[in-house]
Amino acid sequence: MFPIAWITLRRITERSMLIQFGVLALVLAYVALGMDSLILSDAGSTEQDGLMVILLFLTAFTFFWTTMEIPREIERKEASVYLSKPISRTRYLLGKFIGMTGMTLGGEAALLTVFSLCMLIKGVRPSSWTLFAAARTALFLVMLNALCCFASICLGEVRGLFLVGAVCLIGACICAVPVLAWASFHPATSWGWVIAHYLAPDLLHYRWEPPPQLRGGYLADLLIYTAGWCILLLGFSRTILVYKDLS
Amino acid sequence: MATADADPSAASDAPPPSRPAPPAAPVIAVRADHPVRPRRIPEPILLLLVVAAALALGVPADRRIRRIQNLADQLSRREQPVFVPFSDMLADRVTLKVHWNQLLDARAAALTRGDADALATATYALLGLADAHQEIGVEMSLPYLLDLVQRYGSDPVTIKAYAALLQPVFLSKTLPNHPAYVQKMVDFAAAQPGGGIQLLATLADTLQSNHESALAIKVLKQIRASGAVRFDTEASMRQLLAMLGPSDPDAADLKSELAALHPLRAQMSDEAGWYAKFTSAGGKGVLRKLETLRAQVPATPLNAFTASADARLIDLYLREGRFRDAVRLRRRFTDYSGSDLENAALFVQGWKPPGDAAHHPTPAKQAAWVAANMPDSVGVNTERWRALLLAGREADANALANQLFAGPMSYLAKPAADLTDAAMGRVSRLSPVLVLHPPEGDVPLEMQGAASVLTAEFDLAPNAPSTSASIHTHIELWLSSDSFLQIVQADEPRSPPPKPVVTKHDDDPWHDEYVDFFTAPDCWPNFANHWAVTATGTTWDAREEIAFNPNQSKRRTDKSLELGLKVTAARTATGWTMRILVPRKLLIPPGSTIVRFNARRGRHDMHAARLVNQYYTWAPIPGIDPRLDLMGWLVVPQ
Repeated sequence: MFPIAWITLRRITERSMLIQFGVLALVLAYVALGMDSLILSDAGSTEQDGLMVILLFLTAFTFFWTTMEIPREIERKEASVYLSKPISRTRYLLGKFIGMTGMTLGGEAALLTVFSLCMLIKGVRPSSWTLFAAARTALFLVMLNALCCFASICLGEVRGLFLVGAVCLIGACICAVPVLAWASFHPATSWGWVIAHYLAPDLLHYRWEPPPQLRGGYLADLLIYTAGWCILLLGFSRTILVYKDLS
Repeated sequence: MATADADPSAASDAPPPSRPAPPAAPVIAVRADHPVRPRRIPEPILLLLVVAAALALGVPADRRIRRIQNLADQLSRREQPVFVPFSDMLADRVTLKVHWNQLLDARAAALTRGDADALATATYALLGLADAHQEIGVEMSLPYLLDLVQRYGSDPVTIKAYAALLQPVFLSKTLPNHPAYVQKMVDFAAAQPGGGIQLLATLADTLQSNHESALAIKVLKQIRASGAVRFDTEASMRQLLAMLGPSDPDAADLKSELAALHPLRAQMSDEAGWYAKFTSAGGKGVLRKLETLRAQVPATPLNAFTASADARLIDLYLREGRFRDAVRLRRRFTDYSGSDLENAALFVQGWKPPGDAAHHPTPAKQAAWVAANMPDSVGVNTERWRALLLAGREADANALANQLFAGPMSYLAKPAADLTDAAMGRVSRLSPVLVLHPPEGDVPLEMQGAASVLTAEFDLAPNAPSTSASIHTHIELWLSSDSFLQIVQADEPRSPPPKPVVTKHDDDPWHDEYVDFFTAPDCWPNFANHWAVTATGTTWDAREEIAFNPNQSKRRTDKSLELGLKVTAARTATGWTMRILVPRKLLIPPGSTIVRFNARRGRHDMHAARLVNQYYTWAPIPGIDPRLDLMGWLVVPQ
């Protein structure tokens, strides 16, 4: 499992990856150093802009790279080579997941470091919110990686992209479902809404701004919630992979 | 991107597995030549375990996160910290639910207090909310309606609940109980004034729409039992006739009564059409126009519409000082029973404006039309009572007064009893009374040469213990056949006296020192004449409408009245004096009579360093307000 994870993670040193992350780092430096003096004077807004840029980039990165990774390895028979070794499909799957997640989180850590340094050079000390938002983003990326793994194993590369997009769209709106359940006047309908809420990850959880005193508990619960979704998605992925004909 | 040969080499560099693979046959047959550890747990069970673990972790965490978010509450306050899709729609749903929950809370509180009215109010609010919003559905209110009628089934507040439970939407769940509900409604209707005809008619309509003919006939027969067919029961009785078989013993009578309504409707249509012209007359010379219109129909016997017209004419005659004409018309009411008033009112309620007969007037226009042309049953019955008093039929008058001055008009019971005493000549029962008498000495210059001069004098008394009793105000009244003279002699210890600020006729005199007088020539609350003069002789006169109503907010003052006051005022060594000469015509009927009367002095100096605000009256009046219902009696003897 870990060798496969390491092989996957090691690809962050490839030139194309470095170029992508390098460009993004420049953008972040510009945001941290320039935008607040040129356009905005609000350091809080600079932090939000930077974190938003990181989130958008890493979401897109995960969306494309993770969804493509396993189908392409299967297509090129690389997966068959791995599995010809004494490596189970479960370990292969977990290895790919850990590798892609590690690459994403490593990239986030690097970008966050660049961004924070630039802010410090500018004379603005990153707030505790930055750490909270970075942790929240990391958990979202972990969940997204699991979703991409599941979608790519389930439907292949292109259709997997559509599945991830659809689930994310549903996940962005599914926060309405518990509210509808609460506001429902019929108990059966309420239960239906509540069950429907667990058919997709609630992405509002990864955007919510709790009061500062609740951030720690919120992150702990978000971590468990993310773990639950990862277990579910990877569990289904493993089952599909077990029965998948890779020959 | 990884190359195809890089990864396998890296994988081959990896350390060997810590546990050798067992020799069992592989479950996953990727390659037959490499060993795969046999699976100990069947795949479906493993998947179930994974799902269970995911749910065990995710669901509680999700619930805790949502508790922190408290999204429903944030949406209801529209204060959520991040963008939420469909937030407006969700906020509306949440607001509706919050409203529903508030009503449930109000209902629970009413249950705890045992407050039937509050419980009914909350339940009907739930019913209204459920009926108005499709997402709730009126069926949601059923348990609350059932609970209400179960707890307070005999209380009239549950009428609406019974009516709702009989609606078709609840038919499948309440049908077995309909006979009991209908019986309750019939009982409630029987306890209502007029037999609850409207309630029963609505109930019969509902039952007919439910195809519950037997119950509908029962209700319609209850309406039938209320008496002969009238305009308000006509539609219901036609329903009943259609539902009754020809063998029913009442069918023939009912048919003939319904047939008899046709000529009555035609007659009332003519009468109401004439009255509509009468009520629409206005503008300059309205009294002459009304007299002309009244002359177009027979003076007697009166019907609801001609009696209403006469009541209006009497009021106008009294305001014009035509007291004899008022009495002449009033005597016509002696033999009028007023029995057709209710039917006439019912006819007008369903009558459309003649010009709009072919059209459909708006509800507001229809309501205005009905209100304008409705027979004036209060005015007519008041005149009937006055006519009976004029005729000396005190017992009949009292019987009518007991019906008339009850309920919302009970505030008139005391003035009615006083007026009965006055009309019957029981002056000793009236208080305070001032009886005019022939003069014993010289008459004032203004009265010299006048016929039938009478006089009286009195002092005003302070109306509060804190008001100085040593400041005297003496008033002499002089009445002739044409004029009414008041001579006022007032003490004023302040020197210099307060500077006058009112200098123009009909400006409010209450900002100065003043004296004012009140008379109600008809001794009744339709109006009272009111005139005031300041210490420097500035005059003010007006007519106080709805004079006896103790609810001052409903009283209004008509300053257009001009009494023709002539005033002379002068300073004296001890205060001031004043002579006010007023034509008698509008104030006191000719000949021997009794009128309501009062006099008052106000010591108002708004510009003094310390506000002086004192009142002296003849008929005692507490407080600042003139309280015209507390006026005394001025007796003009033969």
